Amino acid sequence: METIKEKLSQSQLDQLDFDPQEIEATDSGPLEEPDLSQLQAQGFLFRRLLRVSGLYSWTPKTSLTSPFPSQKLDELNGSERQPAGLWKKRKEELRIDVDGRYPQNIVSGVIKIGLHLRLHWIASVKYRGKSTWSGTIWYKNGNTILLPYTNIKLKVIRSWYSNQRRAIVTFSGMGAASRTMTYKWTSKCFHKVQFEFDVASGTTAVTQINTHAHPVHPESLPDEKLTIKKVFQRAGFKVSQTSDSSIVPLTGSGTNARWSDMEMHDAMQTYWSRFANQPQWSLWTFFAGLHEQGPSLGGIMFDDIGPNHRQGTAIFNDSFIKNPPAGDPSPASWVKRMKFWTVCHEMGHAFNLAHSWQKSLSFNGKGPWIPLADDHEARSFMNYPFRVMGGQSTFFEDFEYRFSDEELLFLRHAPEQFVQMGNAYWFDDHGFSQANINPERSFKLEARLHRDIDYFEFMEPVNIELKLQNVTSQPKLVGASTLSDSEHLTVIIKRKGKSARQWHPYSQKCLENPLTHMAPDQAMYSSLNIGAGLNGWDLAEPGVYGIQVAINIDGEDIISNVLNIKIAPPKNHEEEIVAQDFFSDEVGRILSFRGSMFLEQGNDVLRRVVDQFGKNRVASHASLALATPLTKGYKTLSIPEGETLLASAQQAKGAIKVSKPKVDEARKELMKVLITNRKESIDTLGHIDYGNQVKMLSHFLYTDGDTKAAEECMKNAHDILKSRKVLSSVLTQFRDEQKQYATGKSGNKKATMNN
Amino acid sequence: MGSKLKNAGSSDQQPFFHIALQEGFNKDEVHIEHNDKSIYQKNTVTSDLRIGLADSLEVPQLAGQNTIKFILPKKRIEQSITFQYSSTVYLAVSLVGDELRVLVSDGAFGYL
Repeated sequence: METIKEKLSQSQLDQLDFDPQEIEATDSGPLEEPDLSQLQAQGFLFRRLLRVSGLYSWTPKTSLTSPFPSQKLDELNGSERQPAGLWKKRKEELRIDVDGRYPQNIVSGVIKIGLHLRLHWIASVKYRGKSTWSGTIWYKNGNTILLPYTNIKLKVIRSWYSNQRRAIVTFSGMGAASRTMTYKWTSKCFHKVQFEFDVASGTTAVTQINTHAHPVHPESLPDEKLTIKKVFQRAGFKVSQTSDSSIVPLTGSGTNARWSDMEMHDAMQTYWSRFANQPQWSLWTFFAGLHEQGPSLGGIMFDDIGPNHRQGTAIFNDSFIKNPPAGDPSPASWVKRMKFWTVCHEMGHAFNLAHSWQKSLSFNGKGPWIPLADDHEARSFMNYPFRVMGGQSTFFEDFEYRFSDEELLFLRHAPEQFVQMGNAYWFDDHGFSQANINPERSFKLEARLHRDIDYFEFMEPVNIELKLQNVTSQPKLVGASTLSDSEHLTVIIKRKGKSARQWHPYSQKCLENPLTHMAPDQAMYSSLNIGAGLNGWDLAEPGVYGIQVAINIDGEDIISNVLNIKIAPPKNHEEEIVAQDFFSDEVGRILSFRGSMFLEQGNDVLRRVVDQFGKNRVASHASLALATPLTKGYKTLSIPEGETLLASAQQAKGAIKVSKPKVDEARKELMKVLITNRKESIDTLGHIDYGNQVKMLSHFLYTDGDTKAAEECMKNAHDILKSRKVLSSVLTQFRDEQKQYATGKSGNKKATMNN
Repeated sequence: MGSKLKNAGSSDQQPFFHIALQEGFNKDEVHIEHNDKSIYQKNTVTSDLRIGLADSLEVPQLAGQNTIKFILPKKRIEQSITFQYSSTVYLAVSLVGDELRVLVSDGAFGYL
């Protein structure tokens, strides 16, 4: 049988604004005798019934034989090849917003690769006919390198069957080779959200109204029973309600019937079955009598206390919203409408929507996510009805019970962390909300310290230790460098009351990562100096910090405990003065790389630290960083003075010079730090780093010909580690190496100190 | 700015001024005088963006002329408004750029 497409001439095909194959794709079968007008009508109906707006997703197809997508799949997708590891961890979401209720003609997407890499992009699109849209990407947030394009072309494949719906997006522009991705339809909604409505005893919840109950309404407004659920469904959410709404006893509010923000927050934690102090698409709405502020407060998004904001809202039924204007034609329906409006308004705040007249406002460094204009006359849930010209009656004459287009753009397409309850900024408040955590975990990751005191001294670099343990009953294969390789590792540092920050090490180690066997309960360990990095000194200011680490093993995110640490304030004015020079990029790099012969200003600061604060723990780190480069011939690039800066090193007569080791000086300093002051040093360096440093010192001494001193160092380290109850397997290593030095059988006579 | 409410708050016997410091304040020092007598002085007045209100106070009216003076010393702003003793007056004060905008109403304001 001929298809419609084959029966029509090219000119006839051009007249259609849809692709006839779309209809043929359904089970209705092709038409025997195509009629243009009939087809056109059918295409229109087809599109009406089969909206394309919604959420689509892409995940890599796994191959047992190759970590790369197969050649055939590549050709099918037209997609670029990606490195195996990254490709395997890549996930994409696509949100198409071109039809349905209040279409914004927007397509947005999220690209996630493991825990590290994320990009959010938004494009405005126009319909080009035949289920095709195209437009320009105007917003990117995150690692822009993940999508180096400016234009998109979207082609959708409609179907009655949801598993056959597809969105084919071709990215182009910026001179890069175009990339085509095929996304599978996931949901007609952009996000899921869950609501719970609870009421204080003696109070009622208003969660629905009849839109024509009050005579003042837009002529075109459908007469319907409108629920809060429906309002947010129309905004693009898949809304569910918990079934266990509860009555909050008045005794829970303290001695009076007025509620404070703190009391409501407590009530939220007590009564809300969904409460969790973490970002989640859930929202508690509480109907009460009065806020402690009195009848002038009609409702509030009260949850701006605690670590996660915007999870709770309250409506005060006995406030001014129960008072209809004098002479209102339908006072009872006015009150019900006002309460309904107030609920939606406060819930809008919980989605991080500002008042309509505050859209452009920046406050304490926080402003709109994109440049926005204030709209004092908006007919939106986020504008006060009594603020518009003509007052509340004029507002409701035009109000369609909806959010404005700008607000819908935000709700549907803004980066999730801006909108989701309990979230704020990416990695703020709760860094690993996006983690792909397997409930049946294979590994346990522990961030920990081994210290006699529970705080870090001012300026003391923060070394933490990681333990990764196989917690299954089966052996596991793990990359041997998993805990050392920053591609796998994410560290979040959050100072109490401040935004969280991701630690970015000065160097990205690209380590060979051969698989190693981990027996059940077996663990691997590493040490991390996270005081400073490319972000600067994330752990410098006195205060309380939470540190959390995540690693990705074969697509599974392993999240550590939150390690809480305190940094003490400076003990005296001298420490404050030196700190101004200490917390610099140079010092951070020297401490991180354990030495530099080039960063002389930083070395000078470290010498001051050792001279002035020799008894402070920072002195151990400074001495190690100053002495370590002296143990070996140190290579520096030397360029004669007076040569132009813009010449190559060769043109400028540069040469690599190797300085002579300063063995005696290095030996004196290192012995002092690692042996004489071993108790203080092991406390501040941690067991792992201390052990590594002593091993390297012993090798250095052995290489210098002092076998006795090398042996003695290992014995000292063994004894102090034993006294601190270090694993016997580790002690055995030290004892064995000590014996090797004693018998002159150490394998590496050329070893030098390095990090 | 909030909704206007009738006779919320104090009694009808004693007319008063209800002064609401509403929008635009951000850690501002604010002094308020009533007939040259200080009735309010705070150093870090900040608007709560959720409801568009920073702070509020009430002061009884005095017989005869009543002058309310708003002073933001660090911003070098001074503004006065004078009323004759009458019924209760509601004043909404917002900081817009470098000037104060005072809205006078005979009804209380509401916040959402």
